[in-house]
Amino acid sequence: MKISTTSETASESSREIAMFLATYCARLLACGATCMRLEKNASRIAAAYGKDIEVTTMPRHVQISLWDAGHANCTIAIEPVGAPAISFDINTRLSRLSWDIADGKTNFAGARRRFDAIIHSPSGAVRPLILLVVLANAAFCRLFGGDPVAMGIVAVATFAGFYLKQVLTAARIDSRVVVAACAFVSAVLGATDSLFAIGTTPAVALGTSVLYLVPGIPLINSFSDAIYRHYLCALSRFTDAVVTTCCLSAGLCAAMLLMGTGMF
Amino acid sequence: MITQIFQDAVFAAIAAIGFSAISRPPRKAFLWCALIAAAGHSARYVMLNCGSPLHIIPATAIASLLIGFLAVFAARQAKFPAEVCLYPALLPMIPGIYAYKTFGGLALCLSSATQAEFLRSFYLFAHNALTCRALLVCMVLGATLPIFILKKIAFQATRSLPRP
Amino acid sequence: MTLTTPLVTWGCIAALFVTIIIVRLIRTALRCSASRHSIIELCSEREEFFIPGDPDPKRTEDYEDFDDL
Repeated sequence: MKISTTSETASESSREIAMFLATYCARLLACGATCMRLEKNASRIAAAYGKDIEVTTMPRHVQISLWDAGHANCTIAIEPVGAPAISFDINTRLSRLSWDIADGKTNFAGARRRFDAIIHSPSGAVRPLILLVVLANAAFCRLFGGDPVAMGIVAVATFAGFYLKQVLTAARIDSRVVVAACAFVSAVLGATDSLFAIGTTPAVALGTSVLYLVPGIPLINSFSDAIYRHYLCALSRFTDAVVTTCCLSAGLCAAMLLMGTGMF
Repeated sequence: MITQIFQDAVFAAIAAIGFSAISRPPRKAFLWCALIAAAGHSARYVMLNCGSPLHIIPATAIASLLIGFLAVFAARQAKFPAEVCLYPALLPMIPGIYAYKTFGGLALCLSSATQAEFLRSFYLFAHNALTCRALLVCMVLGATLPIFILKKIAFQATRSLPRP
Repeated sequence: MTLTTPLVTWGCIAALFVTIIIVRLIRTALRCSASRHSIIELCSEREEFFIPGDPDPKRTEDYEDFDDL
C-alpha cells in the first residue's frame, strides 16, 4: 500500500481511514462487486467519518483520495486488487459492514476487526461444490435439448474438467493454462457420444461439456460497469473474460481437431 | 407444453444453483437464485416457443427485466445486495456457446484456404460474435434497469435498520 | 485423420482421469487409516454437507449476526 498526503498536518486517523478504505475497496472489487457498489459503499463509510472520497478504479489497483471536511487536506492511498476471487458472500458482508459504519453501529477499531474477519472467512468446501457444478452442467445440457445419455456424458466430462481445475489451481498453474487444459479434457470426454454413437444428441453433449468454464460473472460485470460509465474497469473485465473464453476455445478446438468433430 | 415449461424451470434452477455456488453467495441466496432463474428462464422459454415466437434477443431482454425486478424484491426480503441473486440467476442465459463459436469461427477464418471458405467462416465468426454481444448487452440492460429504477431499495438492502 | 487418433486420444484422457481418481482414492484411504478415521464412519450432518457460505463452527464470531443480513 502506498500513502501520500498533501499536508504534514494530516491527522493520523485520516491515514488510517484511507488505508482501511483502500483495502476495503480492493477486496470488494476482487470479490466481484460492480464499480457502482464500490463507490457507494466507500462514500458511505467516508461520510460516516466526515470525509469526502474519490475512488479511481484501475485494472489492477484501486486509488482513493480522501478529503477532510473543507477540503483542506487530502490523503491518497493505492492498493493492489490482487487475484480476483468472486464471492458474493464477502460482497454481502462488506456491504453490510459499510451500512453498520454509516449507522454508527461499530467504531473504527471494531470495523477493522470485522473487516479482517470477513476477508479471512472460510471460502467453502470442495466436494459438494464439484457435485453442484456437475449437476448444473448436466442440467444445462438438458436445457439445450440433450438426451439423458448426453447429460450423463456431460456430467462425467464436467467432473473430470472441474476436478482437474481444482488440482491445477492448487498447484498454482496460470489460470489461462488451467482453463485451456480443462476445456481440452472436458471436450475429449464430451465427445464420447459422437465417438461411440451411443446417444442421439452428440453435438449438444460436446458443446455443453465446457460451459462451466465460461466466465459469466466477469462478462455481466463488465457490461454492468459500462452502463455506469466505468469504461476502464469494464474494458479490463471484458478483456479478462475474452482471454478466458479464448483459452477455453483453444482447448475445445484442439480436442475437436483430435476427435475429428466439427464445431459448426 | 406445461410439462416442458416446468422442466425448463427445474433445470434452469439446478443450473443456477450449481453455477452460483462457484461465486460463493450467502447460504440464504441459493433458494432465491433458483427461484428467480426458474422464473426468468421459463419466461424466456415461453416467449421463444409459444404463440408467435420472439427472437432470442428481445426474449432474453424481457426475461432479464423480470429477473432484475425479482432480484431487487429478493434483495429487500433477504437483505443482501441485488447482484447476489441477480447475476447467478442470469448465468443459465449466458450465451456461452455463441462465445466459443465466435473463436471457433475466427480459427476457421485464419485457416481457410479459399475466398469462399473465408467468407463462410467470417460470416460464422461475425454472426456468433454479434449475437453473443447483443445478448449480453440486452441481458445486462434488462437486469440492471430495475436496480436503476428501484435504486433506493437495491442499495439499502443490506442495511439492518428497521424500515419505516 | 484415421479413426484411431480420436480413439487413442479419448483412451489416453479417460485412462489418465481414472488413474488420477484411483490414486487419489488410495491416498485418501491410506491417510484415513493413518489418522484412525474410517472411510465410512458416523458423524454429524454438519460434517457431511457443507454449502459455501455456511458458518465455520470454529470461527463462529465471524457470523454472529449473519442471520440479520
